[in-house]
Amino acid sequence: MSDRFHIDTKKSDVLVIGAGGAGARAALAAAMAGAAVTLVSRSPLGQGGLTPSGNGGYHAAMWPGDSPEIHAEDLISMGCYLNDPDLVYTMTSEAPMRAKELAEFGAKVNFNIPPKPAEPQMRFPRSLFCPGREILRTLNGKLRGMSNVTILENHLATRLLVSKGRVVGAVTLGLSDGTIRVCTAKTVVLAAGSLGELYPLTSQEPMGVPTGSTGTGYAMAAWAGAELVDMEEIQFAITPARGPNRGMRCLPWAKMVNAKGEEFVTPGEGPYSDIVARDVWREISEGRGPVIMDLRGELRDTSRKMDPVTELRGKILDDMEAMPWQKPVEVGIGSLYCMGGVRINKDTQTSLPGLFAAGEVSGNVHGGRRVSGNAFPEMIVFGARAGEAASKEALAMLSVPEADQDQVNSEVDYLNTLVEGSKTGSVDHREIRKEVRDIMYKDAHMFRNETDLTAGLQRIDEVKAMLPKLACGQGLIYNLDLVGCIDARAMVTTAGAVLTAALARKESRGAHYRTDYPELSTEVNHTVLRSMDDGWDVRLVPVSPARR
Amino acid sequence: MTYATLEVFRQDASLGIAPHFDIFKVPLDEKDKTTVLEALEYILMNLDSSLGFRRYCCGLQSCNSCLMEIDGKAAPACHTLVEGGRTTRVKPLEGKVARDLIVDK
Repeated sequence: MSDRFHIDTKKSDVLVIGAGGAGARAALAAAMAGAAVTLVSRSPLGQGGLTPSGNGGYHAAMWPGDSPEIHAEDLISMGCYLNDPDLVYTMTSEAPMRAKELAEFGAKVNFNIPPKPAEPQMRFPRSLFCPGREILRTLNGKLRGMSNVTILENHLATRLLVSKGRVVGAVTLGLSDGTIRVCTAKTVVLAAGSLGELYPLTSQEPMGVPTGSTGTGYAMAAWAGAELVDMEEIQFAITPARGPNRGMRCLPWAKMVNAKGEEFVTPGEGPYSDIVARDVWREISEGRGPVIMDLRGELRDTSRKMDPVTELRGKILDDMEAMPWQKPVEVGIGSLYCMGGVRINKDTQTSLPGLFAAGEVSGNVHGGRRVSGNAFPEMIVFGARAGEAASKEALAMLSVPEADQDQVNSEVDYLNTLVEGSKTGSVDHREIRKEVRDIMYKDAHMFRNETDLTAGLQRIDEVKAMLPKLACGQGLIYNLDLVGCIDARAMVTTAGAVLTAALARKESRGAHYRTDYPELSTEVNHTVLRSMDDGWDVRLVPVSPARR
Repeated sequence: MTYATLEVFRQDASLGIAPHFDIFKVPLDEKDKTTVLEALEYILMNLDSSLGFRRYCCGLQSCNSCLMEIDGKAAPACHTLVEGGRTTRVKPLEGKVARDLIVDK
């Protein structure tokens, strides 16, 4: 009865998966180098992913006396020495130049750095400012005007294509036209964003609505055979736990009480403190919640000048009467950022020939802790470098490699089976999503230990066994049920990677906190994962020494 | 427990579903309000997984992804509140309906 998907093909020099800041910047760099570029975007351009909600803090060493070296040292010390020094120095060296480039493209970049460092551990003020939506407006405007760029909006990449050990493209699903496109390319840039939605509360679902941060990029890279690094390093933050402002980050941090009305925050800790976030999680996870922030009757400090995006966010919360000065706000701990990801070198090459990665999906820039204001330079510097490196390699190749037809057929069959699956399938993707989020909440949240992680992995295996029975409702056009099934498959893989890496890191470093190994280990190792037929191959690889 | 009622426009030409409205009851926490967008997310995840809408929020009321006609006026679903005991009617904006509340440009 139901139709099957139409099949189409698309050949290009460079295929870019993901149209947030990193993907858009990569596409622009590749197109400016003369490559024929295809950019795949899950949503209409500028209306998806996390970049549009980015405040705009962009750290660059431009203050008198500061230098890329000092910036890098600050980040590596804050990252608990887990950062790849090569990546950090590359980012801090290029951050000023890449910000100027953005301004030349027409973005309104504020180069007037506020004189106070963003965090006390930073030795210099570094906050340039350009909101995410301004970056996307600029990059997308340029991309739309280029004849060598094809933009596939409302397209979901579902699997990378590998032929003779090389990534040669991806299968994409057009949500608006019900067409599966076999997109082959000489090189592929993966810029598919984060995994925040693996957790039930996340700042990657502003106002409780998903942004598509389901970890598809990590999963696609893993299925293709690329290495993932330090997947256990996930940053968490305090956010409102309920109501229309759930997941939004615009709260003062102090004055919290548990269910008994007791204050519990470690004295002397400042905003953004991991210690305060851990204090909150301890109360909640040990059953002393809910944690309430209640500032009614307190004087509200309006003197501190905020950036315009943070001010806007505050105003929205005010309008909804959701600020702790207006009513008590229940807070929780949400996932915020994944420091780990697809393992890259400074030219954004992954461990797989033909595959490059940039932005949050890539790993190792921030080590154990992402300092605020440093996600944007990562996105722009490595986005640009990915586009440059991928186009350089592509333009030196004579022809676009052929896809392995068996692999294409198997993915096409899989997608067709999902929409026809009401006949045989019995599992709803919402059950899988709920289960994965429950596992991550119970077993891989802020405090971890061997017993929980092992139990979590066991449960992930059980969920994995349910995947072949996934079924969704009818329809080839904008079938969110189908999107949910495709995401569910990726969530299971990516959750498995986080649990496996967390089990392998037998120490507490950065955001990764093991109650059974609370100390730092003397050796500093990366966890490096590769997906095998029967699970994950896990290696511990020493961090390369700092360059100077 | 109070409920907000939503009358949601439905149509999918590709499946032969003619334009009509479906009525959903979304539970509200008594203390909290919900936005139209979050109510739609609740419907999708709990009541009807076949619903089509632009399932995205930038959290800054600036991306216009969730613009739709709410009680007769074009408004962003992410900052229009629904309330207990009241009925809110949501329709897609003018244009060719791809599925339910989604209009293709």
